[in-house]
Order: sequence, then structure tokens, then C-alpha cells
Amino acid sequence: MAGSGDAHLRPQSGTLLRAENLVVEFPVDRKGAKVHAVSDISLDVRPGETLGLVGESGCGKSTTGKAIMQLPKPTSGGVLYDGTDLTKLEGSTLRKVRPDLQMIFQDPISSLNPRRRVGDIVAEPLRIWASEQNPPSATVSVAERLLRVWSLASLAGMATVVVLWLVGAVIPYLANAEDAGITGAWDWISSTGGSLMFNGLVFGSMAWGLANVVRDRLAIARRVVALFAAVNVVLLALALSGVGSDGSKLLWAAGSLFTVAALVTTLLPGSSQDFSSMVAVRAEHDQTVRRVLNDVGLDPDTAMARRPHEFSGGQCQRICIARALVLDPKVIICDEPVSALDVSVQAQILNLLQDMKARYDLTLVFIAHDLAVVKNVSDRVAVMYLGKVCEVADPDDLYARPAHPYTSALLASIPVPDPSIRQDEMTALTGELPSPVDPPSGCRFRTRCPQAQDLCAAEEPVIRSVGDGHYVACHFPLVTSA
Amino acid sequence: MIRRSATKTIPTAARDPKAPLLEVVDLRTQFRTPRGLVRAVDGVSFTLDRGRTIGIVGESGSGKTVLSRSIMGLLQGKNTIRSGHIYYEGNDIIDNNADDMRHLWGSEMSMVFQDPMTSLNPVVRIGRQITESLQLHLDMSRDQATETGIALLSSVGIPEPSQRMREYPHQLSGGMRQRVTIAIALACGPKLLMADEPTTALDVTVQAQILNLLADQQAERHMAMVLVTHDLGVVAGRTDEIAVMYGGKVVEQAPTADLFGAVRMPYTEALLGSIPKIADPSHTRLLAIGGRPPDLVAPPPGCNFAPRCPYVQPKCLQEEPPLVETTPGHLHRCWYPVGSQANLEIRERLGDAAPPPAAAPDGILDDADITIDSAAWRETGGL
Repeated sequence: MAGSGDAHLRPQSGTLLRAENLVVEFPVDRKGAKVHAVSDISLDVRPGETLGLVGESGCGKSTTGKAIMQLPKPTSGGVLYDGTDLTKLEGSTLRKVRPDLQMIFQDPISSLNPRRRVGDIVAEPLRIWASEQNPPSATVSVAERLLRVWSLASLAGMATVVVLWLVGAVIPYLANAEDAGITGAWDWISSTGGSLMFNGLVFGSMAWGLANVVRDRLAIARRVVALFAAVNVVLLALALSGVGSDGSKLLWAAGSLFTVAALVTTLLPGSSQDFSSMVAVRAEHDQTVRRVLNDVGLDPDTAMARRPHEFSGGQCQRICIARALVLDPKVIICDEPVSALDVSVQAQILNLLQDMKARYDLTLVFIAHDLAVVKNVSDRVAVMYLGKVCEVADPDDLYARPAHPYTSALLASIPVPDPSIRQDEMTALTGELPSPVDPPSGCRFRTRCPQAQDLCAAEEPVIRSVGDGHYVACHFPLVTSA
Repeated sequence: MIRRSATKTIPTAARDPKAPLLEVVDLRTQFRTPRGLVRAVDGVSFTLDRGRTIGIVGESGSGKTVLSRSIMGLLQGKNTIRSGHIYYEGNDIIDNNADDMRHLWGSEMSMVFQDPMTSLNPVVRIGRQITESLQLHLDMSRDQATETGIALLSSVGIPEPSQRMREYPHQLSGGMRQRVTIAIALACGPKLLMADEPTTALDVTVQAQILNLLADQQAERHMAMVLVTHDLGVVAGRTDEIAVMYGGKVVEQAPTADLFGAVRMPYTEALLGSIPKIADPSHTRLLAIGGRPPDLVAPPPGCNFAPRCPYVQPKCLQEEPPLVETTPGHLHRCWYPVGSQANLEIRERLGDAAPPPAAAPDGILDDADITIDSAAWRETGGL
């Protein structure tokens, strides 16, 4: 099973996603030891097909899924998506492909941010992708940037004052420091610091909030910015007429400059247009989110305003599926999407995935350790063991006549809800997965294989055909080619 | 740290050798919460003889774990209300506090938990975790206990046991860790082993190993076992009797062969239908159960399963069905049990108006909307 080779790959023209000689290694120490998580595997998926990846934990199936997503990039090998090699793409070019490839994770609850509302969670990919495609106009980004700079500066000022105040208040006690002149510093702080602190606290937090609100409510944004500008100008006038210290004059002057400039930019005609188109885009996003939530079987009216903890595990998985679907992807990589769910909920989610696949014209890579589940959803199954592909076949064929001893052992260990089969009599696979840091020579399965021979240790088997679309990497397959 | 107690077992005089090993009568466990009283276990009764195995099956939230913990006396919080009887060898242990239970834990009854990583102490060596109960309950010396510990580890199939004794849990794989927790549970030769989802956190291949190990050890020690799981496949070939729980109640209970041979309860039937079967061709549509398990604070009136039941009738929504015995040993809680004349009539009526009852969709999706079938894209895909 330690099979290398790519006899099972189909002509490139008919495939949508193709991993060629994928290798993923992780360094474990400075001496150069490596975890060989995925060692030279090749896989391909045709449009509309579901490829099942199955194996025990530690066999590298999840790592393969992540390597396809370039999270992280594989150590070597290529991932061809629609003719483009993803491993060669970087930064923004890679980001442009990402909407086509989405992922669903194992634990639905921990893959949703507990502090965000479902509507926002599902809309986030849309918002990120929209700003990636049409960045906001220059005037709006200037207004936003001005406010952000001002609020950050105010917050930084506030933090400085708190630190200085602590120093000023505590040190005189410790050192009886009246002689040391520290009290002089404290006087200066309490005069300028008072105004600085007021400004930082109020304006900093409000401006920070505004910078976020400003994105979609122009009327409110204008009013608040105008209010800030007015207060700042009044304070500047007071400072100039002799109230407060020199420090506060400088401060209010800077504040006036920033807020008035921000006000002007929000009043420019260009920004009005930009804001209204933003509002339109946002309404469109809202529509899309509603449609997708509805598609995955959640009521958008009740679901969007709630947070993930208010949903059951199965419903959270529906939300994850909605998030993956919202960008209308071509390929979804499902990494153990039902392992954390109850059998009854598992059936709901598996049915839902099948329905969504048909409705959205999806191509799926379905990673799971449960062979019965994989059989149910897949059009083609690849069995993995310790970073290698052992067997690739059509599911019905694979389950009817497993060719690899490992596949047959996996099949034998599935619990069957039928008491007439005494399962303790079945041959369970003995032993444990060898360490991927130092995998066995030759065939990687030989240490646990019931029919291992000398050849298996000496030579690594190469994937070969044992029938129509049925490929195996074994020197002594259980099924010989017909 | 627990010190050796004066009495290590219950007095032999109080034991009734004729009584079944474990008899649970109308056990109720309720939790007081801000939302109200959670009826986690609501009147469960069963009997378990020496050397036998009972499987407790249900979805999450059905009360199966609370049931096993109640029997072990692990739920002692001040907001837990327990009632009913738990007879262990004829003695009612329902009111035992932790000190009383300590005489039973380990030497009489022990437990294997779901997640071996969290049930083992990560900062204590394996050896110490095994020998602790040996020294405590069996009064062994340290050397004796170490020797026994090594023998136990090798009996549960751990290679190089003496070296493993000095290791920490994180140095072992999931399957090996679960073997260690089984060794700990078996250390003092209990008569009753509670296995609470012992293989849920493990791979299928390791699951088969662990279940075989439990079966072997059980046969060797003539030990009774309560196997709690959500997977009907796990209990099918390995139990003598099965109790299916739903909403804190036993809804069907029967000898294993009877249960799978003649399912009476629609819930059990639905649960079996939702398991993907290896024998079915790929892309067989699963018969999912729509909806969610009942809220145990405010369970629905009538039958708990009625809101999700494909055969639901007006009577089900008003009156709660009792647990009745139709054939000897086969109990179920349904007004219109599967296989009965009444149920057949309902099926017939549904057959005209609706899709096959158990195939009722998730209750959320309209299957009619989905017209694209797999054949269509197979063609476009150029297969």
C-alpha cells in the first residue's frame, strides 16, 4: 500500500481537480527528522464527482485535503485546478481562486466564531470577496483612513496617560520622591493629560465605532462626523482663548484637522454614490445569505440574528455548509463533516450534502474514516494508509471485492447492525499505525499485513490496475485483474 | 488522596446471592437548572445478571450517559435529584454517598469513559494510575501492585508493558490509552463494568480491537457489562439485551436478536434506517429522522417521539404510551407499534398520500425542488 505511481489518474482534460505527486512533510527536530504526512500521492476528481478519501486517523487524509487548499502549501507536487497549478500561485492570484474551493470542517461548533451572528458568519466570505473585487472609492477610503488614524492616535494617547498617571501616582509613595522632581512631571501630566484623556476616551472609542458604522449608513456617519468636528473646533477655540495648556491647543488643533477633513470627504458627491452602491451590495449579500440559509434548511429570519451556541451540532454543520456555499464554489473539501454528529443527524447532513451537490453543481472531496459513510456519498474512493494511496476504485466495486489487504481489514472492522454476525469472530486489524517519522521500508502496510512477504519489505508496490477503474498498490492483491 | 478505609467491601451478610447482580427500578435523575427541572433519566428499569451484557442505545441527549453515571453514583451534586432504586446484589445503593460508593468502585463496579485522554490524568505516569486502586482496594504492596499492573497491561494487549508503566498518557495513541483505562477499570476484578461510549473517540479499526478486548475480558472474568453507545452497529453482535433510550425514557427493550428481528418502536426503526449500510449501493438515500430530540425541561405532551414520528396519530400527541410487553421480554412504548395491525393501517394510508413514511425528509428541505439527479451530471462529466 505504500503505493506510489499514478496509473489510476485519468486523462487531464476530463478532470477538474488533480493532485500530482503530492508530498507534505513537517519537520520535527533540528536534526532533520520529518513527519512524512503525505508521501507522493496522486488523485484526480472529475467535475460533479465525489471523491471519497478514507483511512485511519494519522493516514494523512486531512493533510491531503488541506494541501489541496494550499493550507499550507505542499512540500512538493502540484495541485491542478481547472488547468492552473495552485502551488505556483501566491498572494492575490491565489486569493482569486479561493472562492472556487471551499472547505467544511469536522467539528461544526468550534469552526464557527461563537461571538458573531450567524448572518455575519455566512456573509463574511461575500464581504471579503466583494472588497477584494471592488475596493471602495478613493474618497471613502480617505475618510475611513482619517478617522482610523485619529482614533488610533487618541487610543494610544489614552494608554500613555494611564501609564504616566500610574507612574506619577505610585512612584512618589515608593521613593518619597518630592525631591526627585517627579512631582513636577505629574503636574504637567495632570494639566495636559486631563484633556488628552478625555479626548482619547470619548473620541477614540466613538471614532473607532464610527469607522465601522460609516461603511453602510451615510446619513448617520455624516451627522456623527459633523458633531465630532464641531466639538473639536469649539475646544480648539477655547484652548486658543487661554483655557488649558499648550499641549491641549496642539491636541484640539490636530483633532479639528482630522475630523473636519473626514466631514468634507463624506460630503463629496463621489462618496455619496459610493455609499449608496455599498448599501446596494450589502442588501444583495443579505439576499444571498438568506437564500443559502434557506437552501441548507435553516429559517433565515430566526437564524441570522442568533449566535452559534443557540444551535445544535447538526444545525451548526448546516451553517458551515451555508458558509461554504455562499460564494458559489466549484469544489468543496469536506473534512470529516459528520464524524462529530449523531447517527440520525449524520443522515440529515449526508442527505443535505447530496442535495446541495446537485443544486449547486458541486464537486466534492469527502474525507472520512467511516467506510459506510464514504460509500454512501462517493463516486470514487481512495483508501489511504500512512501517507500513501493503497487502493482507488468505484465504491460498489471496492466494497464488493477489496483488492488491498488493508481495505479488506477496514471493511471487516465496521460494526454491522445485525446480531446474526458475531463481530468478535471477525478478523480485526492488529497492531498500531507505525510512526510517520520513520515509515516502514517497501510497502508501508507490511508491518500489519497478514500476507506480508519479503518482497513487501524490499520493494514499494506501484499502483496498477486490477479491473475496470480499480487500482491497487500491492504486490499480492486479493483480486487479480480480470 | 484517598486513604485505605476500614471496610473494603460491603458485608457479605447483606449480599443476596440469588438476587440479580444489578437491578434498576424506576430510576429517575433530574437536574435543577435555571430553566427548570431537566428530567435526564425518567423512570428507567432493567435487570442485569452476572456475566451478561446490556446495551444502552440512544442519541445524544437521550439520557444514556446520565443513566450510567447515576448507577455508578457519580452524580452527587446538590442540584441533582435521584429517586427509584438501584439494587446491587440485592442492596439498594441509590442513597449511597461518595464514601459508601468508594467501597464498590473499582472492586465491585468500574467504568470506562468515552475520551481516554480526558479520563486519564495527564501528569501522572500510567503505572501509578493503575496501581493506585490495587494498593487501595486489594491492599497490595507497591511491588505486588506494579507486578499486577504489568500483567494487566499485557492482558489488554499493550506491548512492552513494563516500559509503558513509566510513560505518561500523551505518549500513547488513542487506542492504547483506551486500553490503559480498560486495564485500570479491570484492575480489581469488578463484577460490573460500565462502558460509556468506549469507542466513540476511536478509529473503526481500533474500535473493533477495543470491542473484542472488552468481550474477551468479559468472558474471562465472567463480568457483567453495560455498554452505552449511540451506534446500533456496535451493540448488535456484542450484547444479550438492548435498551433503546429516547428523551430520558426506555422506549424499547428486548433481547438483541428479538430487537433486530422484530423492531416494534418507530424510533428504533428510524434509527436503524439512518445508518449508512455497507451492503447498500452507493448514493442510497438515507432515511434521516427529521427534527431534534425533545427538550427535557418541557417534554412534549403525549409520546416524546411523536413530533418526529412518521406514523404519528392524534392519540400520540395527547396520551403518553406506557411501556408494554407484547412478546415475552420485548418491551416497547408506542400506541401503534411497528408490525401491529394498527401500524400497518397507518402505513397503508400514508402510502397513498405521502412518500414512504420513514423516508419523510428532514422536515426542512423540500425534496421535490431537487430535480438534478446523479445520472445527469455523470453524463456531463463524461464518465
